[in-house]
Amino acid sequence: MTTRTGRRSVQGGIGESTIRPDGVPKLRGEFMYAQDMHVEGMLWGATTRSPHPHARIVSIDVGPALAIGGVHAVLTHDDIPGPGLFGLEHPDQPVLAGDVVRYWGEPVAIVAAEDEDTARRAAEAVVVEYEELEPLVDAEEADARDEVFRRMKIRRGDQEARGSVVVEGYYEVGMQDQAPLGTEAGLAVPDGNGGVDLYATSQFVHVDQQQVVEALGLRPEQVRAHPVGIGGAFGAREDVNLHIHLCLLALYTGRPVKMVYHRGESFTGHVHRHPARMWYRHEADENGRLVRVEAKILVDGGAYASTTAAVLANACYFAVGPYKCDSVAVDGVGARTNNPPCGAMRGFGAVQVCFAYESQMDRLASALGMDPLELRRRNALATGDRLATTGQVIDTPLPVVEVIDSLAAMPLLVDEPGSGGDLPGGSGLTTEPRHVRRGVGYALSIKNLGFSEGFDDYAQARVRLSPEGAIVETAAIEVGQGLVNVLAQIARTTLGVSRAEVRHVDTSRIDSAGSTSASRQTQLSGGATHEAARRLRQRILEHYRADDLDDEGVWRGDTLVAAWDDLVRDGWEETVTFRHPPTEPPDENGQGKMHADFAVAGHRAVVDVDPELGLVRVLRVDTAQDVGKALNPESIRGQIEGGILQGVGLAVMEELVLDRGRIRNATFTDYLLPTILDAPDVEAILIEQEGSWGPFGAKGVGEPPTISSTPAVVAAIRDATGKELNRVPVRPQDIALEEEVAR
Amino acid sequence: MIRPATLREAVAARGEYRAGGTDLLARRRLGLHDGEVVDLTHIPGLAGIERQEDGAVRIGALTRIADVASHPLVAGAYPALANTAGSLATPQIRAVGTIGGNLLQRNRCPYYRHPAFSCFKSGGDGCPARHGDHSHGVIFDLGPCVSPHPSSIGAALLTYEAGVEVAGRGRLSVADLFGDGTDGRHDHRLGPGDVLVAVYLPPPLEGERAAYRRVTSRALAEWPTVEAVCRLALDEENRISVARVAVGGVAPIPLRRPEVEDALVGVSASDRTAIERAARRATEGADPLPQTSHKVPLLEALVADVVESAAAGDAHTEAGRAERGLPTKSGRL
Repeated sequence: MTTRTGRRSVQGGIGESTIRPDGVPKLRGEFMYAQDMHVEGMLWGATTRSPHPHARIVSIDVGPALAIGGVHAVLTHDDIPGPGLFGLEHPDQPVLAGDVVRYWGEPVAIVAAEDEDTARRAAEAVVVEYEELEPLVDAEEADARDEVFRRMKIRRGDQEARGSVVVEGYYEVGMQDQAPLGTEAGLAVPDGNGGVDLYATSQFVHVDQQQVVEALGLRPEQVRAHPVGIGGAFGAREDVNLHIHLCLLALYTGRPVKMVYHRGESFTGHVHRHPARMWYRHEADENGRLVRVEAKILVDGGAYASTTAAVLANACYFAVGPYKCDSVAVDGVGARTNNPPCGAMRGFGAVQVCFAYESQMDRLASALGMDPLELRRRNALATGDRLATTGQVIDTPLPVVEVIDSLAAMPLLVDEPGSGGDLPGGSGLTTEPRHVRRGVGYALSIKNLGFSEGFDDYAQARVRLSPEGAIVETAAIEVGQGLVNVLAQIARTTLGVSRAEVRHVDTSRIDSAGSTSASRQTQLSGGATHEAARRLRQRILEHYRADDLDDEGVWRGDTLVAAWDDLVRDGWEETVTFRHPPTEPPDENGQGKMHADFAVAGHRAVVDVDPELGLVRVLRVDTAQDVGKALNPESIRGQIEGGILQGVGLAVMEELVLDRGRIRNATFTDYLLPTILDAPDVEAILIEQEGSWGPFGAKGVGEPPTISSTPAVVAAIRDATGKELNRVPVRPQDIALEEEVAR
Repeated sequence: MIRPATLREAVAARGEYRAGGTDLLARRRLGLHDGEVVDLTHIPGLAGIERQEDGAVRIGALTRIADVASHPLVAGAYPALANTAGSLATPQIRAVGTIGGNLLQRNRCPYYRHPAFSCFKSGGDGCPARHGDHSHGVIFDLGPCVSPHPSSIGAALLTYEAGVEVAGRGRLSVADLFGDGTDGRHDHRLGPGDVLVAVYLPPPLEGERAAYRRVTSRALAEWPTVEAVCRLALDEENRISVARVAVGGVAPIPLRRPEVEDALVGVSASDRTAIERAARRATEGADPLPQTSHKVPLLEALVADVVESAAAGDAHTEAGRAERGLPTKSGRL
């Protein structure tokens, strides 16, 4: 009989900044990304895309492509066995265009060949005769023609309320791209019985599987989607792109088929952040309290639905920001055009409106002669208040005042301009300290966590015991955020063991974990892991009438009543499906409990600007963020620093430029991402408050860093230059010249 | 791929010459290339920097841009060229790209490089940028193409009044290499069989000083919105006796600005007002497009900056900049 010598505390549990299991392999180049997959005998796929934003397909001749040696299949719309449509919210998008192409780069044919070069040559050899049609590329014109995916109307409170101080503004947000460094990639392997295994870049394998099944008219059990290594996502992998194509080619040829998008194709092959136009009117009393907010929000959804309806709804629900106001009118339009389809990207609608409402709050502070932070403090939303737009009572922690106070108290750690060698204008030594003006700007944000509007949002996880320790099985996708760390940490703390790891399993072996988006996996899959581990531990202890479980086994007092190996042999496991508190669809005035939880964040940006040359250097972005409970502080800081850099990108450089529906800059030469030398220093305060329904009170943390960092940077540039700057990204000419974007 | 072992074979070969390949390989992937690749890298004697008997410096066409930036002969006597070479593109590109390739690279216009568009440079007969997005375009509208010439080194060489040696054609001034900007189809005036062999820099003037500045919107790895090079000599009374100013990012060719040069002669090197007045002449004759009017004040401000910097001798040495409390390149990529 083993006697217990002393309790060890759990190593690697929650609250620790444990080292990521995929970290070292990624640094060493040993991690297998989707691009690296290979199986013997596989073919390569490639895609023929429309060169027109809008055209009727007169004819397609696949003959010249098929005539190339080594080509095994050239498939078009007519070769699809099922309905041939897909879509995240409703299936409106053809797997391959049939009669009409509706955006530039829309897939028209797919090929499979012995090698990648042959596949690409064959894709180029497909002869498609088009009759060009006039593309609809202006969202306002689409609105006027009633070409819309969704209209939103929010009316709350006394619509006649009026304030004594009024500010109006028009704002624009350009089309940002997720620009993940890993492009779209996948491999489909036929199982020989009419089914297929799909290994492809994704944020949500169960919904990929479902769309493959529905589009190709297969039975659910015939398609298995497997999680694979992902090089970044940021929303770009929520919709399917090459997934159905790969399955179609694999089933047709009977061979495994691999496809990897090149960089330009990646820019056209996934959805983008919705460009937005926003008209705002804020009215306040002389003490700065918001009396009424009116907004019209127009987002361009592009050619197909994707998630435009949900993005638009989010933009409207968060149109006032984290502020109290009892008289609100918001009208939203999600336009249908012949521009590239837009969908999910980090911040999901909350980004666009945050730029507008925070610009408005600064204008209001200026009109009142009030400190911008003081204005925000006077209007700060708190737990127990109603969200200004939807009227939902906020029943989880909402530390808006704490965020403001933390930002105000943070020391301004900046040197004199140029003393650190970092001046605006990059490597060319363009400017000098005497030309530089410094600016400081603040912004706050609020966003929902998890899916909303009555969506049945759940995640399943399984915890089982193995010789290597506890195993968390999940189909939740790791996109780089650290889920493989945090689920294991939750399992360790909850079970009381020091050994736990996460294993990804395919769609046939576990139910959905939902999407790795909406800042939801730590709360949802974390919640499922927490509950599964809790129940498993409880069942084991009850079974053995024991009082503790650790790495050695089950203990009753100081006596080991069952060793770990015995538990493993008995096959203990627990599977839990976790749901967040239910939400509901909006009523006709946009009112109701549409959201399960919220997170707030605040940012303070410090910039140096050379106003003559229009150059900006973002020196610092300090932040305070509502995290509920910091399960892995280092991972949270990683999310914060990366999210801020993406927000800086939208503020000063990132934009896909369209020319009559065609993306003009689909390369990393012409689509400018911030480099590491553009990255500001970041100091972050994590605000922990108990009361959220996530595991240990944790909240999602992925999106808030991106949302208010953009308006904070623009506010700082305004502070330095006195310019209006009502459009992001702010380009050098916007600073160096007088005109603003006029409406 | 054709791999000539001698210059004579290279002249006889037909196709596109490859030096560092940084531009050519990217264009080949887009289908924007002209026949076979003629690889110049096996021809001896095309790389290297040396001083000639007459005091001039010869830079072989295949000399890496990074070597141009760091070579003591260049950094000491031709600091604006060294600074230009050290500021363009990325460390990776500078380590592979060559001085000849930088001069002869094709235009960076996204329309030219876009499969959905055809333009003068890709064999068509229009300029989609003129009627589309040309916010990166020229303000000196010299020809049918509105995209600025991409060679930063070309602007630097104009201020040094450098020449190039072309196999079979002899010496050519850098100004003649680029022409007058009226030819929308080509980026330079070399034809098939013309192999750029070397760049020649005349001996420097006594006590001359120079500077290079570029405007980019991110820290590095971006073609400049506007760039400017200035080279000056001063007399005993600290007045400007010789001035050479060239600019980039604003015309279909690297552009010398004699109006500024003339206005600078006789101006005191410390007279900021007079320098700024002279710099405003940098935009004389400019005819900005609807989306490039911002480049007019940018160019004037940048030229004033680069002249002031050259006049103060800042760019002559990194130590000189550090003494004046100005940013230096140390710690940057």
